[in-house]
Amino acid sequence: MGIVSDLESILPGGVLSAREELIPYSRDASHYDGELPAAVVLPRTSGEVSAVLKYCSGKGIPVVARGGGTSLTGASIPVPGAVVMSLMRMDRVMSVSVEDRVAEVQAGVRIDALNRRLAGLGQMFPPDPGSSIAATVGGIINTNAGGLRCVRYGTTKDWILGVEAVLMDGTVLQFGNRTLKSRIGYDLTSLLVGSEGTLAVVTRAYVKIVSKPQAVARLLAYFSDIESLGRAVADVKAAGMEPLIAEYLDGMTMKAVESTGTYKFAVCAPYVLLLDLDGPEEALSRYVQEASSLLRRSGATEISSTTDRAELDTLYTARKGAYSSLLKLRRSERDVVLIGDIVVPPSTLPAVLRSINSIVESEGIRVALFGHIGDGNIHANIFFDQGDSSERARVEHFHSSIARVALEHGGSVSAEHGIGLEKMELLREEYRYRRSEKALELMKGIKSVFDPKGLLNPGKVLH
Amino acid sequence: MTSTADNLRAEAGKCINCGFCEAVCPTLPSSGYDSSKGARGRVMLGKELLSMLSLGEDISALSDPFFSCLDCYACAQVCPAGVNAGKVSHLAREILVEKGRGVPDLARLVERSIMRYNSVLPLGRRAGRWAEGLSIPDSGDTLLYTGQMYQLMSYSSALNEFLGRRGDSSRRFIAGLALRLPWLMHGALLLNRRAMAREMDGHLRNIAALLRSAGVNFFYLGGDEPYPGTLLHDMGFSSSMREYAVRVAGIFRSRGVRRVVTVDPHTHDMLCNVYPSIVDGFDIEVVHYTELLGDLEFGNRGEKLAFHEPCHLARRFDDMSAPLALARKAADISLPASCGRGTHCCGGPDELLYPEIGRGVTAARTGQLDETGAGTTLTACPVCLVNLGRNGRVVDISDLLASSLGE
Repeated sequence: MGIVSDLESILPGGVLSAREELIPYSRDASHYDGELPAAVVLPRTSGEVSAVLKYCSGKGIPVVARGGGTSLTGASIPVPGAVVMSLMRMDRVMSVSVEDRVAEVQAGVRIDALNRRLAGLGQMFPPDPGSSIAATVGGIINTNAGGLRCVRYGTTKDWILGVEAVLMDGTVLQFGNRTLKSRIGYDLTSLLVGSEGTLAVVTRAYVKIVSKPQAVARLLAYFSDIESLGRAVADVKAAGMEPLIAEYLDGMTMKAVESTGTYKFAVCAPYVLLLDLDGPEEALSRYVQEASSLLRRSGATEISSTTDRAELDTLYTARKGAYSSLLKLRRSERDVVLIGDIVVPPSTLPAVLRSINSIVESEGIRVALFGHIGDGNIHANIFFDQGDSSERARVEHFHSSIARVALEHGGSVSAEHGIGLEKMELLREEYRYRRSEKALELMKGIKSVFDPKGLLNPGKVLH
Repeated sequence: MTSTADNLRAEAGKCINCGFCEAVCPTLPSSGYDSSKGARGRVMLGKELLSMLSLGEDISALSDPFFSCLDCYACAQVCPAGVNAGKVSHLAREILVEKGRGVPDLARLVERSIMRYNSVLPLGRRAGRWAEGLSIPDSGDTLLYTGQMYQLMSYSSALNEFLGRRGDSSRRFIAGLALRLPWLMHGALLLNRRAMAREMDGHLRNIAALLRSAGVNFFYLGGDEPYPGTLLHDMGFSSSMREYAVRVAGIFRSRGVRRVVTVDPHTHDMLCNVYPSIVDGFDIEVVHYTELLGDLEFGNRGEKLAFHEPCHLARRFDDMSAPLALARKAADISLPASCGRGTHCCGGPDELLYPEIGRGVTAARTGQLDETGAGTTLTACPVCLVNLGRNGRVVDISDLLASSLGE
């Protein structure tokens, strides 16, 4: 029997194999064009995941697990001959316990869907990537995604207590637990977080939840130069303020957001800083006044604020769609955007942003900058023509240059989007820079323990 | 003049694959998460269709992804790059029809019936029975235009159930047979839910009474009233649609119509958003009947109702607040989490060609409406009324308003 008929006997009604059914799984949200997979399987249970993996292991067939397909680095791009395993049918929130501050969730639950469910209980799951409308719990665990609220809450790894995962040989295991504390040997839960589907297929997770903020006010502080904005963020942190989000957008990104018609900035300025403060309703105006004074001293040219729920939501949604909105500014369909993802200590932001600006100017690259600046995460969105090899080379050089700036200031080349296909070379560069290449060998060793045949998402993360 | 392929290239070309649209596309979960039946997959397949066309390949296999799209435009509400995946599907259907590839027999049957009978089914005088005894004039300058939508429901609902009970291959066989034997379309009229027909007639009588109470003078075409051609448009029969729209506009003009009062979202959308672009000089004023009832007083007995906003009112118009505003005068209205421009389709548009997907969408929406705790749903669309009505009690807004008038 062929692969497809074998899989259909394992997973009746859960296999796609026609060409038109496979095409949508050949790409994710990155700029990579993938190959058509051999088949797509859509299991409903971890038992079905196990059966498919066991079969594929026996046949030596690569398997690429997929959630919402929102990877920006090509992490879910299939390799030739692979079976894509979509976890989307595993879309149940199994239980929520406010008392225990934990939710038990299947891998295919989308982040916004989880938060809609939690909102009814006054709770939320803090990791909040820009793609949260489509990204899944399993997906953000495998990416160790971050998002807008990282400045306060950290990344996904800080919110995962345990996972159920299936090894390539079909073994179903639970790592970690549903308790807030759990010291049970090596922390294999954390090892799976950020492993990009290369070690096991995550099918279920125990995630921590937290009460929603009482009330929120947003400041929009406009700046004429990037260094002042960087200094303002450092000053906010130094003053002991703990914003809920601290985002920045450059003029090009602001223009892109406005072009969608969803939001119009009150001031035309080269940069804007979005700062959310939360607390009891009666204290908010005092917080806003204090933050405004501080931002003005740091060089903000104009400041506005709002507590209007509709305006808060509109701008939040617009900010989350900033990357996609930027794509409207492509010169042609052949243009793609390579999205940088460096992170630096916030105290170094003024110097880092100054350096990036001077590289942008000297290399003449078309780039839009925005990011979760509160935690030092900067996204450089670099436009280039896929068919122009010289432009591609210049862009890759630019990408490496800003990565180098991050490393020189104690930062990293990858903050929250993962490695996937796009940042494998930068990953090596970071470990080389730290003279820790041996760490990569350890990772390969770990990979071979979990997946001795190298069949899970091959060709990603590590060479 | 740009071709359909150029328009498709322009729309699909804006997509950057972020996947936001998939998260709100009702047919994706309902199809068991087959991405070719989700918004992002359809945009990718739109690009594939263009590529196949340029290579001279057979595009028939791309039919299901595009014909299963509900045209609800949920996708367009969340796309940060401004892509309307619903429009991509629509343009792709037009190309499939133009090339004569992969067009379902049932769709071709619908086209032929509309072009032959001025309606989806040969209702003839039956369509005007609701108005018997109401003494509605047959001439004037303001036309009450039902578009036969309420009248068709009792037949289409029975037909859909008849076909839905059969497998895909049986449905195709029946459609193919009816294409060869046109008189079978008259046989379809035997499938009629009489109780539903009486209810639908009642809704139309309510609407006429409400308009009269609001002082609106109107006339009605009775058995001469044509269907607006919605399914021709939705299924991608653009050439027939243009011809048919000119025919309908000609009837309006020949009867001296200056203003049309519509009673359902689909007809209202067609006349406001489609006819002006395909009928030269279409300058007839179009209003939805609820827009004319603002001055009426309604009693409010505090009945708890969850309002399901029809996609074709909530998303195709910048401000169609009249139905909700009226409903709030007459009842204790709650809205489901997916509301306003974020409303969720009832599943109706897939009932004929993809009943399994359609019913999954209906079940999902029913679940959302149940979460309001209201117990009963209110809506302002005959298609939503019938589809959601399979899973619980649904009230047409005309019933609520008529029963609350002047209390």
